[in-house]
Amino acid sequence: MTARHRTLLPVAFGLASFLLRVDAAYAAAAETAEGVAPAAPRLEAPRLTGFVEAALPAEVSPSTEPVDVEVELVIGADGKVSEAKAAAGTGSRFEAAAVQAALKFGFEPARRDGKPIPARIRYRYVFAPSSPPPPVPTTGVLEGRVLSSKDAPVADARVDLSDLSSDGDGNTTRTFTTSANGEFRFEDLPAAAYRIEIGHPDLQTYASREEVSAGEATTLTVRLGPVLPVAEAVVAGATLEFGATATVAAPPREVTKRTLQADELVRVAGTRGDALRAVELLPGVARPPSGMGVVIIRGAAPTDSAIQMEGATVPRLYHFGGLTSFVQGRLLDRIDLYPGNFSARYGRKVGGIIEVALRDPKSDGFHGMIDVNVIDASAMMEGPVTPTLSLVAAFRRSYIDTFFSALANSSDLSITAAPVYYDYQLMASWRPREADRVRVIVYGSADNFKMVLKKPLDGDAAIRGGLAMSTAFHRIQAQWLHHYGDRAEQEISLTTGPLLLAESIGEDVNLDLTGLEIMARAEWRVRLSQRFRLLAGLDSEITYGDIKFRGPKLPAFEGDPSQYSPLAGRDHSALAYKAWIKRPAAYAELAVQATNALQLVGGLRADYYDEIERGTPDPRLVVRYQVRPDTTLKAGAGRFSQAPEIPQSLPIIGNPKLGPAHAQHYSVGVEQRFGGLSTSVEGFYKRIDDLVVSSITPEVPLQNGGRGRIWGAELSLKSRLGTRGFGFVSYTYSRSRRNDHGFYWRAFDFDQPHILTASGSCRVGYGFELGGTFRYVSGNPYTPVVGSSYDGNVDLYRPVYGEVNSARNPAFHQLDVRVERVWKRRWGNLAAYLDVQNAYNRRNPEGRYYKYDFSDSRTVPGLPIIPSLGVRGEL
Amino acid sequence: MISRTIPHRAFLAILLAGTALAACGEPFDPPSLIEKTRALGARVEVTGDPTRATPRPGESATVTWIMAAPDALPPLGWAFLVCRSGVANPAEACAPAPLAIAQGSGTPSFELAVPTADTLGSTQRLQLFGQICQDSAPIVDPQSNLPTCAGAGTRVTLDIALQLGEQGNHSPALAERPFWFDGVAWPADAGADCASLPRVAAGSKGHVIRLTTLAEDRETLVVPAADPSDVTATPTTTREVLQISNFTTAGELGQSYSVVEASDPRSEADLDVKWDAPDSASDSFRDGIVHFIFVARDLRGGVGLATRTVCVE
Repeated sequence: MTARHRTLLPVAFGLASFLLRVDAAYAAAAETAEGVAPAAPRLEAPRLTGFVEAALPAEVSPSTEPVDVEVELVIGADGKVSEAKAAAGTGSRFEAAAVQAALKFGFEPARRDGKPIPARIRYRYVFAPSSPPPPVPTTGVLEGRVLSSKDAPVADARVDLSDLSSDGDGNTTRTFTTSANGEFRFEDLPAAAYRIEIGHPDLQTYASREEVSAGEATTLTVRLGPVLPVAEAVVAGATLEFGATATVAAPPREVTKRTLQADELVRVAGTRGDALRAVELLPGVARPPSGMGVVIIRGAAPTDSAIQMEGATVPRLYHFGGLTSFVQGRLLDRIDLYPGNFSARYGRKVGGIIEVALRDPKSDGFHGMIDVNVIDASAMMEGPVTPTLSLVAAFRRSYIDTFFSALANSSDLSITAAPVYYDYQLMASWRPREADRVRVIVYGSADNFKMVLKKPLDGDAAIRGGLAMSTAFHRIQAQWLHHYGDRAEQEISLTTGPLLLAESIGEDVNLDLTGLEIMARAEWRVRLSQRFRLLAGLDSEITYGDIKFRGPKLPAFEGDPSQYSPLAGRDHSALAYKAWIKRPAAYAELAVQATNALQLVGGLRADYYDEIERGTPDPRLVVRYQVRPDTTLKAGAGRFSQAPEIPQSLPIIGNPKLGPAHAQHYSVGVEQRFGGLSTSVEGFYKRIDDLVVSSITPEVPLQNGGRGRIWGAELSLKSRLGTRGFGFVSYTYSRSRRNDHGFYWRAFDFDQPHILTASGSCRVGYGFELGGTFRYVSGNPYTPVVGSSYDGNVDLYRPVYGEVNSARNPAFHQLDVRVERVWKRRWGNLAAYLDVQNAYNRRNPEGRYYKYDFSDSRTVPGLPIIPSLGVRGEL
Repeated sequence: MISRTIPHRAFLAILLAGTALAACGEPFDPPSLIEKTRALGARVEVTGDPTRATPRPGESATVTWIMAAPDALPPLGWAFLVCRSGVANPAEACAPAPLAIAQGSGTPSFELAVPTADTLGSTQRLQLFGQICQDSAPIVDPQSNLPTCAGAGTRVTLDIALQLGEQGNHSPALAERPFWFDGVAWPADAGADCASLPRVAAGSKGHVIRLTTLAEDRETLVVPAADPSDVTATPTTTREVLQISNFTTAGELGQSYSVVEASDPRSEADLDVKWDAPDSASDSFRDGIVHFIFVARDLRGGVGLATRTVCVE
């Protein structure tokens, strides 16, 4: 048997007591500093520099299982081991051999603020079996657990990992936030030296240098001592309680995955701290006109992209008019945007995917947050119920209604129910065992708006009387995650809840939808070997809909300017329809680490659409090649399918004979890190066929007659300024073209060739944080009106359109700024913020409006400067 | 996902157009102001039964366009093609040849001989495409075979419903309904000089025009069930909607349309419209005589007309 250095465990019992002593010293120092917060001491754990292999006596029998020996070491300030003894003290030959070897180890000594100090650590010496031969190592793992000085798990501690192998500048390359159990894990790390820094707002900071070897796992247990309470004074650079975030670097299965970390999300200027609104700033995401509240990803129609929360599709991302997203931003773990070539676990869409992940409730004590601003107010509470069960609850409600009615009521209209929205989230997370996590999430969102036009609208008498829109969805989701050892895991989730929708325009147009949605997903992830990983799953959506509709037949959602034509005089239809619609799917993905540098991911997804009785098999392939530790090339190709939106395939108002649309995605790119600056460049091409477009025959309103071609490139630069802030710049060049029925190629409704975004935020000291976001976006195309025709039946003029989308609005540009100040109090943090949208009051054109006979038009001005003042308290 | 499929966008667009835009953008002149020569509607009168607006196949009817101008009407030339309905594109609707062609000058009016049922086949409505030109006669566009104007003009369309069953649709008798101006009875044809007209001060605001509609202005009709596959669903009975278009040659009307909804249970419905008199310095003041035109539609082809006049001093 050969003793091999397989697992390094510079654990901490000794280090913990050491830290406690340091804490006491700093506590005394802090008390004399008149309440000014002390800088956290910089502690570095001892680092093994000289390993000595233990010599086992020849008579010791070989073992097929590894034998662990935990050795307690005292390391002097000179880095030499002065004492070594076996922790268990069984007197075995393995223990004796390990102690003898450990006495010869060499260490870089522990340091406090750079000064060498003695330390006591535990070291696990593993005698690994000599056979079977180890697999070919590729990458390594760095994992560990963060505990408080009282051995309580520290959740939401931020773990920054910096690659020191290239330039040693120590800039953060990967970040993790500890789980409820205080655990963190970095996988697939190239063999190199890393600097790890662990921080928590209430605890001291820990930093050390660690080596990660190919095929090896380096495990740390770190105890963080408390930072002394500070007096009620402004704390320079205070970090808010909810600032920590988590980003789990899953094995890459997409060519492009853009992840926004939650601490960045809530700090982006112009979003009023609403994390999901920052999605609009990512490369490849176009800007919708104000008030539409949709997401346009890489030139795809809003209905061609899906928004998922914890694996379940949600009806919409934003509340009424796009003001605010439907979920409390401080509950987010991360937002992943897949602009194309997404994994086989996602389907039913030909555009992109936005995946919203929620973090676990905090388990290190009770926390709360109240946020009040001019539009809405929100509150959140969370904490542990038992050591294994924690809860979080959040609620938000707008109060626009309190002043909107007074402002908007006039001789022309009266507001009977001013815009009101609310949303809520409730989550229980239970970890009965290390291998299991059970979560139950209840969430929902509702919007309501009713008003009465006191007189018919000039130019369209059909728009009169009551205008109402009411939407709501409520969900309950149960998740179970189970680990089968360290090689396999299973995740099962079931989501269900009602969907309600009512819209009406006067007495002539009315939609009333009552639905029930059931979404089930089961996924298995297996590490077959060092080189092979398998992911397989089942993904079903079942929808019950009871629809009552009276109004005009459906035009296509894109490319048909007649949808904006006057309502009066249109042929109306009436439909009453009830149905269960089932959309099952299965998928599998195999990731192959062909070499240390080359990874291939092949996937296949099969969907069935019950309502149109069609199935779609979609193969996908992604290749990643790591040229150097800092450089990765990537490419992908795949097929994606999407059934018509359900009302489009209904009888009377739609066309039941519609088939699915199909898309092919191709993309190539490179990711490059320059120290702390992450850059990526991607080129993409999408080909879409069988798009649903307005019909050219009178028999049906819709047909599969559309084609799309989308191409472009995206450049992004992103940098984190340590814990002080972040900044990113992205530029997208994109062209999105459509062809309806083979007539001619035209611009897509939201074709925006140039999208430039620059955003950043920085804590400048004295509790202040400043941020800004600038956007420049090409104007949206529109269809010019070249004439009009007077309709004698209803007394209005109908526009005569020119070539579809052949004209374009002027460019949009806007600067948003955000100033926030944080006061740290004994009970928590208090923050006041001012978020100013459109700071230089640019009158951006958002569309056109016309004279009643279409003989003249003017641009619709966008929103003016909007300052939003808010106050937030956090426990 | 079913919820992504709502005609939400159209709703928002309408909402935006109807409220926010009107509030944020600089408004245009409303359609109620007659600032140029315009068509205000068309009335179909079945020969021998002039209150009926739905001719039967084989019958003839007179189609008369209601025209207005700030002052006297200019010389008009017009041409109309009558084609099968159901197709928005005139070229397709009129292929291979229009059912009828009419052309003339002066007030746009012509007698339509509705083809017989044999000729019409499954056609239930007729579509009229036309052009009304100012100071010129229409010419035929060689590309579209549709009439067009050399100078100013208006392209017009009209859908003519045919009576296929027993029940015909009759035009609302707006001309016979009472009007009040600031609470005083306001008769038609009161005269052409200020002495015989209601007199208002230039620039005065908030005058109230009241029109009383009667129950017989809104006929009863049957609406088919929403779900044709549901054999238990029964057709419902409802009343017509009455839409009044309000026009003036000067000043500003408070609203371009007034509507009596189908669900309105009143047998007599008073419709009030506010009007601000033009300032004597305004372009529309002219000689102080202001004309008002009211066009009632039942939105099934029936059209009624009433005119009134005031004097602004």
